[in-house]
Amino acid sequence: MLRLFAAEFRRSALLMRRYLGNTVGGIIGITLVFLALFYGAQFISGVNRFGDRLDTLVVGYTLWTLILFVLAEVSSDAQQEAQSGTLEQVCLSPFGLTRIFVLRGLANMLWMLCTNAAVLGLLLLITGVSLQVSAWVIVPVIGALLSAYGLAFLFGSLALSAKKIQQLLNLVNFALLFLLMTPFETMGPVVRAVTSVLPLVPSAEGLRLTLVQGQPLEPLQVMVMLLSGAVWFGLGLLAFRGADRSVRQRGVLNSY
Amino acid sequence: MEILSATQLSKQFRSRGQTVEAVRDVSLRCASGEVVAFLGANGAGKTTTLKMLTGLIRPDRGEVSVCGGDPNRDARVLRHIGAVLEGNRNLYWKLTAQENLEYFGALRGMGRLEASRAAILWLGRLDLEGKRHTLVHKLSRGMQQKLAFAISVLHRPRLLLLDEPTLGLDVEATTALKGYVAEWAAEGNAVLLTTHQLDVAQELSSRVVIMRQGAILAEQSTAELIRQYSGQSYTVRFQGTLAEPQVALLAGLPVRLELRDDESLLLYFGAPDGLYAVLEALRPQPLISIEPTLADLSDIFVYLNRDGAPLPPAARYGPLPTSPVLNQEALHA
Ligand SMILES: Nc1ncnc2c1ncn2[C@@H]1O[C@H](COP(=O)(O)OP(=O)(O)OP(=O)(O)O)[C@@H](O)[C@H]1O
Ligand SMILES: [Mg+2]
Repeated sequence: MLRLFAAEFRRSALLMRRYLGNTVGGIIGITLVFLALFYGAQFISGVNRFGDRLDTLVVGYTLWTLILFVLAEVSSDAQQEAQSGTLEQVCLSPFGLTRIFVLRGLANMLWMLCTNAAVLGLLLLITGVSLQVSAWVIVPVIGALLSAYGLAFLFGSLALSAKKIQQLLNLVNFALLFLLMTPFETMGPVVRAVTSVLPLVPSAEGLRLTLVQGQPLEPLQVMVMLLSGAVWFGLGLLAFRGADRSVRQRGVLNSY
Repeated sequence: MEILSATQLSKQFRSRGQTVEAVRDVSLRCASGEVVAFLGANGAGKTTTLKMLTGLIRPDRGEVSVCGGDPNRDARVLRHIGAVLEGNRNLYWKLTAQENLEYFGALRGMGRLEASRAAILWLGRLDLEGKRHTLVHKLSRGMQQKLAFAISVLHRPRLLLLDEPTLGLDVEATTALKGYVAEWAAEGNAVLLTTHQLDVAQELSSRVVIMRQGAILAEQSTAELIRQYSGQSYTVRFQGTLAEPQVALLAGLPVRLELRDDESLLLYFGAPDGLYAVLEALRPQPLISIEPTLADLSDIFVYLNRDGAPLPPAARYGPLPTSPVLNQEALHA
């Protein structure tokens, strides 16, 4: 297991190095998009109305880009490898497809977190926002990553069986933007309870609480975040294993 | 020692409302030291069968056992299997030859050092040491195929499955690869390969399995098969163009025609006395010569696989019915 993880890590590092240009371009691109959206909106509306909520926006946007990376990972990996034929070689491993993809996700996570930290750093520098960093941040970040990987495996299972899911992924990305940016916690206890069933919502709330308002988290909140993450992650893995089985049944592991 | 045994494998595919019976009741065995060649026309079901032996395609029915375990149920059995799959691009294009080998070695459960040593060894053997640090997408097609072979044997599997391993290889590389396959089997492993290059099959295999429309048509030791058909075949050379009724007559006989302007060839399979019917059909073309021929695998393959050849009623395990019976059937068809 550990050996396999080390191998996955080496592979992801090599690929990272070979795609370094893409990554740097990505970081700059993402930052520019934020600035364009933000100052564009200000310019059109003519007022500096985001002033007090700028920090919330920065946190939400950074989280969103992280989730976008994570979400695309499993499905684009599965799709590309099905096309090139490497997926079959991977499936010949005694470790099994799901385990390999989970370890891959873990190996890639480090690079994604670095990229994301770079984006956040750039945004903070340019907008002059300062955040309250405390150890509590770790909880919503873990919760968010778990749910994001859960969703990623859900889409990965779709990609395995349907192969082409890019359109759907694009739509979902915007739905997620809504989920991440909406402060459901201010809409009353009923809405809050209902929406915390949705993926990522509790963790996004947790991030706002810790990073923006600098509050410590209550045990219940910690539980909800981690539980939501674990449940979505579990669902994703179950779906992925199911898709793996069904694809072998239908004989369509490679793109047919 | 038996390494692979598969019994009564069947697979149907459903796509767009249509069902394709890709494989019907196929049983296979492969012992240590054996190279089995799996032959058949395009779409005969070879790849599907091979993939069912690895769990890449789940059989509808039937059992697979590789070194005592079923890879469809227990992925750990895959440790004993190495495979070169059709389509040759089973490599990461953004990694170098060496990195590909090391990564796939790790996927098969090898340690880093072990994989890296084996990688260097195989790159040397396959004449690729100069390309160790070249990205795969900058390798030629044949080099990629060689690399795919190296990946399949890196972890020293007991069962090697090769789906058209010589596709795209030059003469020298084909010879080298044949050498390694023979060596691998001689070390006590089992090899099952599909190929459309019948000379490769003839040279390498100890046994051939011929598939047609998803079922096994014939299975026999290569030498035996060739011997059986060798005493039973004649080449007739003749001149002139054949008329419609002559062609129709010949279509019902166990022959294969190669028509040319100056001098045509007719290959006859069957007992010597059946030859007269053929000569009768050729009348009044001027004959040049009649010779008994040593059949080679491609002649036998084309003959067994011709249109209108009787399909086996169900799975058969064992030798062909003796050739006179086959020929009698064909003669009276
Ligand atoms: N996933 C699939 N869905 C539908 N039909 C399939 C699928 N895979 C294979 N088939 C069909 O099953 C039959 C056997 O295909 P297979 O690939 O096993 O043939 P093959 O003997 O390997 O041929 P070739 O010599 O061309 O490689 C063909 O009719 C093919 O169209
Ligand atoms: Mg094939």
